[in-house]
Amino acid sequence: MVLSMENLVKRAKSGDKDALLKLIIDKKAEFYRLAYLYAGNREDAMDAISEMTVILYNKIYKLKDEDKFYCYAKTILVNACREILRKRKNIVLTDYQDYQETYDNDGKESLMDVFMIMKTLSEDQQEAIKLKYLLDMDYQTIAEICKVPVGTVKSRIFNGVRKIKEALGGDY
Amino acid sequence: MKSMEDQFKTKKEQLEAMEVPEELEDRLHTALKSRHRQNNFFIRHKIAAAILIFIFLFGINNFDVLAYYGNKIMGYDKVIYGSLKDLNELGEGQKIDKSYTFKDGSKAILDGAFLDDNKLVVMYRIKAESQDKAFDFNPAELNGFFWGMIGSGSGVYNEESGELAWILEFDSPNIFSRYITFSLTSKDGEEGKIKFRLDMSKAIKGTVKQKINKSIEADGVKYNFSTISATPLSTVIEGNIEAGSKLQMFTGGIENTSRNLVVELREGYEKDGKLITEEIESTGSGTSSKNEKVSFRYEFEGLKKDLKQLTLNFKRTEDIKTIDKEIKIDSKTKNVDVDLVKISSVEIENGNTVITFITDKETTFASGLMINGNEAKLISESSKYIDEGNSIKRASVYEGNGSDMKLIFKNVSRQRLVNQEFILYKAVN
Repeated sequence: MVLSMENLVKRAKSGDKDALLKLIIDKKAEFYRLAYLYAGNREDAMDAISEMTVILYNKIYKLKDEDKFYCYAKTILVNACREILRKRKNIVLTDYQDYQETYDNDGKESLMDVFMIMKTLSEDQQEAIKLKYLLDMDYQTIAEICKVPVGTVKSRIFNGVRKIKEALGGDY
Repeated sequence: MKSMEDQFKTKKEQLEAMEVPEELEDRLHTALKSRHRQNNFFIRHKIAAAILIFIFLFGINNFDVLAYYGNKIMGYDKVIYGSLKDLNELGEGQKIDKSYTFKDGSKAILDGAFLDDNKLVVMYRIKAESQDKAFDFNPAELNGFFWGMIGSGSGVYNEESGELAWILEFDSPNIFSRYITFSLTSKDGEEGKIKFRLDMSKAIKGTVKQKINKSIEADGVKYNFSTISATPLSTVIEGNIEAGSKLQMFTGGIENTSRNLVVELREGYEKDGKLITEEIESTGSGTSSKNEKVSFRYEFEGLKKDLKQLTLNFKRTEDIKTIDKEIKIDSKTKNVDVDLVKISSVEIENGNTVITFITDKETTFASGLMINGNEAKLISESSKYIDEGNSIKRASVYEGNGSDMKLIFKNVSRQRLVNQEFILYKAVN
C-alpha cells in the first residue's frame, strides 16, 4: 500500500519510526545535498542527517501542518549542520574545495572567479545565494530555514548577486 | 569567462550528480532503533511519581511571584491580532518583565504570558544590533515539570524601536508546571534562560466548558463531538470518529485516500443591545489516531463577551486520494480518463504544450508534466465552468514540447457539501 505524504506524516507524529524513515529516505538526495552544502564533507553530512532524524522523531508531534514536513525537516537539518560546524569552529559554508578539484578540465579559472568573489560576501548572503542557485529553493523556504523574513532573503540575494556581477565586470 | 548563472548552473549540476552514500539508510535506521519518545512519556505513565517528586522537590520552595495584572503589555502592536489583541488591550495578561543579556550584547525581554485551559501564549522581544542578528535566534522553548516544547508563532521586526517582537503559542502546561523556564539560543550556541512563575489560578477563565454529546453522520462516517473548551483567548472542540469500514481513511489511507472534515463555528453575542452573529476564525485543526481510535480537534479564536449562542456548522467533507500515475501523452491524446480527471486534449501552441482537463465541480487535482525526462515549467493555468456549472474545464500551459511527454498525477481530491448545523451552547436568559 502506498501512503500519501500527509498520512505518513500523521503516522510519524504518532510515533511510527518506519513512516518517519520513509519520509526521509524518499527525499534522501535532497537532504544529502543540503547537508553537504553546509557541512562540506560526506561524513558530517550523514551525521547531520542522523541528528535531524532523531530530533524529528522527538519533536514531530508538534508539527501542526503536515504539508510543511519537509520544510520543517530541512530547518532542523540546517541547524544540525550549523551545530557541527560550530563544534569544528568553522561557521562558514563549504568552501567547495572538493568540487573545484573536479573542475580542472572544465574551466577552473572561471569557477574560481565566482566562488572566490562569493567569499567576499557576508555569510548570510553566501548562504541565501547558495540555497537559491544551487538547491533551487524558493524564497519562502529559504526564509524559514534562515529564520528571517522573505524580504530579507530577497535583499541578501539581490545585494550579493549585484556584488558578484560587479566584480565579474558585467552589467547589472 | 562564464557568466555567473552558467557557473552556478555547472555547480548545481555537479551537486545533483553527487551520489548519496549507500550506508546512509542503515545509519538512519540505527539512529532510531533504540529511541523512545522523550515527551509525554512521563506525563502519561509516570504521573503519580511525578506528583510525589514535585511535592518533595518543589513543594516548599518559594520563588518570587512575578505575575501581576492590570497592565497592557506594550511593544507588540505589529504582531498581535484577534482575541489576544483584545485581551491585551484589557490588560488581562500576566506580566513577567524579566530579561537575559547575551555575551554579544543582544537582549531577550520576556514581557508576559496569557494562559487558559487550551494554550499558553508568551510574548518576548529581542534587542540586537541589527535586524539580521535579532532573527538569528531560534524560536523560544519552554520547559516545566515533565513538560516542555518549542513554540510556534510569529515575530515581527519593528525598525523604529529596533526590536523583534515574538508571540509564541504552546500547549497548556500540566498543573504542576507552575515554574517555567524560558530558553532562547543564539546563533553562537549561547542559551539564555529566564525562570518565571506561571499563576495557574489567574488563568483566563472559561466561558463555555462542557460536554457536547452530539453526533453527525456524513458520507459513511460518524463524527462524535465530545467537548468544547472556550475562553475569551481560545476555543477548542474535540471528539472522535466512528469510521467503520473507512477507518483507514484516518489511520493510513483506504485506497490511499484520507478525509478532512471542514466545520464552521459561529457565535451570537450581544453588543449595544443588538444580537450579532459572526463566524469565529479557525486557527487550526487535525486528527490523530491511536490503536484504531481516531480523535479530532478544532481550534478557533476566543469568544466575545455577552455570548448568547454557539453554533457549529458541519460544512463539507474533503477526500484526498493519492494516485501517483504517469500517463504518456502527445498531440493526439484525447479524452483519457485518469481517476476522476479527464485529459480532454493536448495541443502544441507556439512551441508550448497546452493540456485541457475536465472534472466535475467537486474535484481538484495536482499534476505535473515531464518533457523528455525533465519537469516542464508551468507557464499559466486557467479554468471555467461548463455543462451548466456542473463541470470545470482547466487549461494548463507548459513551456516547450517533446517527443517523450508524461503527465504525472499526484492526487485527486473531492469535496461533498453537508451543511448540517447544531447548537453547541445557548445562554439561559
